[in-house]
Parts: sequence; structure tokens; C-alpha cells
Amino acid sequence: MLCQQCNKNNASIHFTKIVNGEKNEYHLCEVCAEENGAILSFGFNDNFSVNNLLSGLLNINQSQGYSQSNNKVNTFAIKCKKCGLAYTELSKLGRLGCSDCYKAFDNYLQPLIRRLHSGNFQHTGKVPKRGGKHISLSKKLNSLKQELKVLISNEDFENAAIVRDKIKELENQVINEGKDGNDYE
Amino acid sequence: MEMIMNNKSYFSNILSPWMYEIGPENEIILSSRVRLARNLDKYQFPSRCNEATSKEILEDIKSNLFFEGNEDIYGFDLIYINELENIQKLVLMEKHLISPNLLKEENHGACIITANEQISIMVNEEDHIRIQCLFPGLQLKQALELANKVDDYFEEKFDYAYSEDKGYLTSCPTNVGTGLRASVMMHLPALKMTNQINNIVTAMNQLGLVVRGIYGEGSEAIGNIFQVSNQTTLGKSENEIIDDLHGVILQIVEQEKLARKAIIATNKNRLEDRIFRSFGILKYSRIISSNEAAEHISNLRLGIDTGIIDSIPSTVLFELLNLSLPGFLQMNSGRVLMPEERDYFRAILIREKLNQFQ
Repeated sequence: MLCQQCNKNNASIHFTKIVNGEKNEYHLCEVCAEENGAILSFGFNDNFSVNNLLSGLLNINQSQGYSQSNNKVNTFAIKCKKCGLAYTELSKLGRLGCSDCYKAFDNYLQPLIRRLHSGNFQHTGKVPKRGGKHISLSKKLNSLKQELKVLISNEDFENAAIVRDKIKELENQVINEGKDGNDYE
Repeated sequence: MEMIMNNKSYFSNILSPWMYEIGPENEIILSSRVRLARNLDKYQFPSRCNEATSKEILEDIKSNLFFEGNEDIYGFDLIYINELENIQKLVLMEKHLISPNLLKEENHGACIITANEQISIMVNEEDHIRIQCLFPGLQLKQALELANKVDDYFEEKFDYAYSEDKGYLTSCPTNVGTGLRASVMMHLPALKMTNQINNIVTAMNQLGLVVRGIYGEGSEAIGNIFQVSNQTTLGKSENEIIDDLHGVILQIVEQEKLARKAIIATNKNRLEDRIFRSFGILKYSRIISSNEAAEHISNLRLGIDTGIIDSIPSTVLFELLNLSLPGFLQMNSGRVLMPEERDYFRAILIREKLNQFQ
């Protein structure tokens, strides 16, 4: 039997994960198994810590992702474009690499974050003063862009032109404020 | 062995200046702490930084905060961890000004502290910036207020990693959102004596609070001192987190007070015996381990708080506990001590301290 991940080597590690009663069988070669932390996740680990716990939760999320997608997307291959952190590293370390990682791994982090924060996933606390201004601008910008799409599809070009000008104006504002590399979008 | 020591007061004073102040509920709540975790948007998080980037981050922070003509209202002092002696690092850790994590990762770690040691900002720890404010007694709101001011000051100069829905983005998803960890250090000897502590710890866990020993993560409660903190950082505002914690803490304070009263009402002789035995051991022992010392120091403090001993100020608990720690012991004796030597020196320092109060 070939490894279900690389389809090259012989699968030598076979295991079944049961998550919420849902059974998943895995057949991996040693290299792939080690790479995605499969060995760690059921072996004994003396160095038990919050991060091990987190990576455990990430592995569960990952196996759920597997079973849900019929078109064999290789979840292990996902990487953060900004810092290059791979999913396999994240699930081993339990630490994110940069602010963009939150977006890159959103699908996998969302359930984990809910579990960690008693079901919460929306920040309701402090907003940075400078960054906060920028955020409300980008919020406005997004809703204007949506409006523009609707107007164009309705062929209301007169109003679309007005909205387009507003968008340009706001975009200039964002660019001016974000000159020092402040980019939250 | 001779050591070249930085003569700054952070390393030589046993107690931080704020520890001499008396705070609300002082007889049970030793201190309140608020920590905010922040990251700079343009850099990778510390665990993914190479040496050059870590250095760049530290330089960035230094050049924005410490330059000629920039006077902050706090009187910040920048301390490079790499420039410290091992014993100095230990002392800062024992005063809770830095974490063990900052010591381990000598990756251009630094801390920015104020003269009264009430504000401590760690640089290049698990997150780029960790702002911490400490207050005596139960003063979580005051600690949050100060931490927010320092945070605003930093935010004027740096672009934080922040997203609208996730809030402040942190290296570990357990801190995301507010990045706020609020905690109080409580002395709960009567709840321990009356075997109620386990139930209370369980109840606090169910309320989403974390209970730990004095040295934080992964250590047992030494000297009946427990640290209680919030677990979740996302979904509630900073003020809500603080208010919820404050409410639970007040209830535990009430329980501890009731337990102390009950012990005095039913078992006063036994309590007095226990307290004076501990006093005697601290005063006369020639060799004492840190765990044994902590147990007796806890009893001594209980004696002071219940009026059974009135010749000693209550700050003696912090003083004796800190004196007993490896960093302070070695700082005081001026040399590196082997573990077995420490028990001997600890007994000497405790005796000397107690002889100051007759």
C-alpha cells in the first residue's frame, strides 16, 4: 500500500483517529507521518505543555478537514505567504509566525480559538487609536466596493460613478495614513 | 569568585518599592498584576525570528523610545538581558519583573522598567512586547488603567499587529483578542488548613479562571500563595475581564476571612502553637530548605494578620520569601552557591532579618 500523502513510499504507519465518533483511517510512510506530527500526537510526550495541547487540538481540526473535503486537498501543504510558516510546523509548535498567519490558517484556527475562549471568536475590547481610525476607513471602503458591484450589475452607471469617486478618495486617505507601513487590510 | 555587578537598585533591593505600600485587602491579596501582549505588525512573531530580526526589533524599540530629547513620563530604563550576570537575571525573575521565558531565549531579549519597579515591559519574549503593571493588594482596575496608558504610549510609536475581528494578534492563540492576563497573588493559609482549597480551585476552574503556584506556569503553590488569573482573552472587553475576576476574588477573600475566624474561634490554641513553632524554627534553624521556609513564613504572616504576632511588619512575608530564593541568596552572599550551601545561607539570612524586629 502506498502512502496516502506522498503516493511514493510504502505506507508503514497505519492508524485510526476517532473524533466525535467519526472514524478516519490513515496510511502514511514514516517521512510523511513524522512531517505532520502523527507520531507525536499519539506517542507519549514528556514535554507536555500548552503548546502540545494546542497542537493536539490543531491535529483534530486537521483530521476533520480531511474527512470533510472530498477533493483531496493536501492540508499539510498550506503555508503562510508572508512568513512561510507551514501547517505542519504550526501543528507541531502551536505558535503562529506572524500576523498574516491568522488569515492563512483561519479555517483551522477558528474552531481552536472558539474552544480556547469559551466559544468566543469576536474581539470586543480595545481598538488601537491610530490603527483603529484606519480600520473604520477600510470597513467603509469595503462596503462602498460592495455597493459599487450592485450598482454596476443594475447598470446604474450614474450612481456607480459617484461611488467610484468616493472609493478613490478613501483609498487615497488610506494610502496617506498607511505610509509608514501600517497595513491592516 | 568575583562578579562585576550592575549597581542598580533592581538587583540589590529585596523588595520592589511598591511592595512597601499597603493596598486594599492587603491581609489576603498580596499583589495585583495586569499584562498586555502586543506584537509589531511589520515583523514576524519572536518564535519565528532569526537572530538578525530579533536584533532589529530591539533596535527599533530602542530608537523609538530612548533617544535624546524624548522624555517619557515613566522614567523608563532599558536593560539588555544579554548583558546581565546569571544571578541578576534570577533576581529580576524572582521579583516577577521578567519571565523565565525571557531568560531562556537569549534572543536579544530586553526589559524596560521603572524605578519603582511597578511597570515592566519585556521585549522579544513570546510576543514582541509584553507590558506588565504591578500593584499592592487588590487593585486590578488601577493596574489595567496604567497598563492601558503605557500601551497607548507605545501605540503612538509602533504599528501593532491587530485585526478587526481577532483583536490584538499574539504568537499563541491563547492570548489573542485583548492580550490581557490579569492576576492576583493570594495568601490562603486558612482555606488550606480547613481543606477547602481544592474545592475552591475546582470552582474557580469552572468559572474559567486559572489557579497556579507563586512562580506561575508549571509549579506548585509554595507557602499557601496562589495566583489566580483569567483564562480567556477573546470575546470580553478588558473591563469585563477585570470586573469578573475582581468579583470572584472578593468572594474568595470572604471565604478566607471566614475560615480564619472559624479557626480562631474553635482552635485558637492550636493556631497559636503552630504560628509560634514556625516563628521559632525561622528564628533558630541553622539549615532550612526553601519549601520548609515557605511553609513557616506563611504561618508567620498568618500570625501577623490575625494579631497573634504584633512586633513584625506584614512585609516580612515578601522579604523572607524573596531572601530565600536562589537569586537573592547568591546576590547577598556575593558568590555562586551550591544547592546544599543555599539551605545554610538561607537560615542565616532569615535569622538576621528576624533579629531586626525584637
